[in-house]
Amino acid sequence: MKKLNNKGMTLIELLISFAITSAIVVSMFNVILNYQTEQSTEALKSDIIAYKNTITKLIQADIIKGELKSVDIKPIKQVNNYTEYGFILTFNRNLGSSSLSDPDSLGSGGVLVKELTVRTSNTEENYITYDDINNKGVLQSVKYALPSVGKGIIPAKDNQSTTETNLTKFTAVSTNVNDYTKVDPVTFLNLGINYFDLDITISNNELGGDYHIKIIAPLNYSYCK
Amino acid sequence: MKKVLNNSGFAMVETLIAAVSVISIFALLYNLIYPLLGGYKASQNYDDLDSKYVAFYVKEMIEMDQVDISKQLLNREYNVYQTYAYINDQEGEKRVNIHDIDIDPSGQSEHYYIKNELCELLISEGNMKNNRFFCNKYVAGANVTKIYLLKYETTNFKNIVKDAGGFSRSFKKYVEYMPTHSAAVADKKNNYYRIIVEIEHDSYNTAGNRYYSYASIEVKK
Repeated sequence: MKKLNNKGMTLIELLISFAITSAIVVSMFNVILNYQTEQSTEALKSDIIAYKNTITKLIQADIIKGELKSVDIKPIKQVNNYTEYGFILTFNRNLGSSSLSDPDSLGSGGVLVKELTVRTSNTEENYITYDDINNKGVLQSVKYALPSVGKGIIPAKDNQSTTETNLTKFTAVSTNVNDYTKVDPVTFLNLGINYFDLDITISNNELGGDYHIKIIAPLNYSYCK
Repeated sequence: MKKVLNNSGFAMVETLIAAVSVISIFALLYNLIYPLLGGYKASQNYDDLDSKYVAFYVKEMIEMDQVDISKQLLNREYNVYQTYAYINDQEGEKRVNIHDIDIDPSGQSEHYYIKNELCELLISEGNMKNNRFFCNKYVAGANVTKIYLLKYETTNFKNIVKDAGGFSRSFKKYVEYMPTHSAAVADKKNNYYRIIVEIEHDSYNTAGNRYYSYASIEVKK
C-alpha cells in the first residue's frame, strides 16, 4: 500500500509562497487604486451627462411642443459670490392640459412664458431654474442643482493666500438669439428667421475637458410637432 | 478489502486542461462584452443628446418640405451634403470651405453666408414655410458640417463605410455601432430614410482640437 505523504510544507516553501503572494498583492494594489480613481471620474462624468441631458430635454421638449417664439435676455446679475444669467422664453402655444387648467401659468395672450436662470458661483451652489411665470409675475421656482463633488483649495493669484472653490461649476454662459451669419442683401434676403443658441459650460479639472449644455433651436418655426 | 483514499491531487495535465478551459471561457465572455463597451464609449463620445436634437430639427425641415429625396438615392446607398461658405466680393460669388472663413460674429472682414447642399434642395417658399432659409441658417448656427442621407436599412451602408477610405475615424466608429435594422423591418418602412448629421465642436477638449459628434434619425417622406 502506498504511503501517504503527510510531511506538509517546509518553512522555505512557505516563505517563498508568502513572498510571491505579497508581491502580487502589492502590484494589484496600484492597479485597484487606479481603477478606483477612474471609477470616481467616470461616476462624475455620468452624473454630469445625466444632469446635462435632464436640462436639455426639459427645455427642448417645451421648444418642440410649444414652438419657441422669442427669447429675451435679462441683464446679468452680479453679486459678490455669484453671477446670474436670466432668459425669458416665450412660446407660441401653451403646453397642454396642465397649463390650460391653470390659467395663472399662462402669460398674456394665453401663451406660455418661462424663465430660465443660470447661477454660477465659485463658492456657492451652482444651479439652473426653469419655471412658468404666471400673470402676476410670480416664479414657481424649482432648482436643478449641478452635481457637486465638494470644494478644493487652490492658491490665489498673489500666491500668498489660498481660496476655496467649487470643483465642479458653470464656467461660462453664452447665448445668441440673432442670426450672426452675414446676409447678402441681394441674393439672401433676411426674413427674420433666427434661432436660439444657448451654451452653458460645465467644468471640472478632473474631467479632461468641458461639458456643454447646448440648446440650439429655430425661433418661430411653425412646423415643430 | 479497505478502499484506499486517493490523495494524490490533480496531475499537471489536468490542471493545465482546466486552466485552458477557464481561460477560453473568459476570452469568449470578453469577446461578447467588449463590443458592448465599445458601443457605450462610441455613444458617449460621438452620439450625444444635443446632436440628436439638431438631427431632429433638420429632419423636421426635410419632412415638412415638398422635396422628393428618393431621387437622391437612386442607385445609391447614401449621399453626402456638405456645408460651404459663400463669399461675395468684387470678383463675384466664391464657394469656400467653412474653415477658411472667420466665423467670429463680430468680424466684419468677410461678407459670407452659409449653405448646406441638402438645405438647398428644399423648395418650400414663403415667409413662414421657407425651409431652405430656416435650414441653411440653422445648419450654420448648429455648426453642421455634413448631412448624410441614406436608406432606412443600414447594413449596406455600414459595410461601405467599414471598407472605404475617405471617412473620418470618428465617423467610422459611430457608424460601426449604429443599430442595424433587419430587412423585414426595413420592408415595412416604405418611404422612410435616415439622415446622419455631423456637428463640429471647436475647442471641446483641452487640446483645443476640433471634435465631431454625430446623430442619426429616421425621416419619413
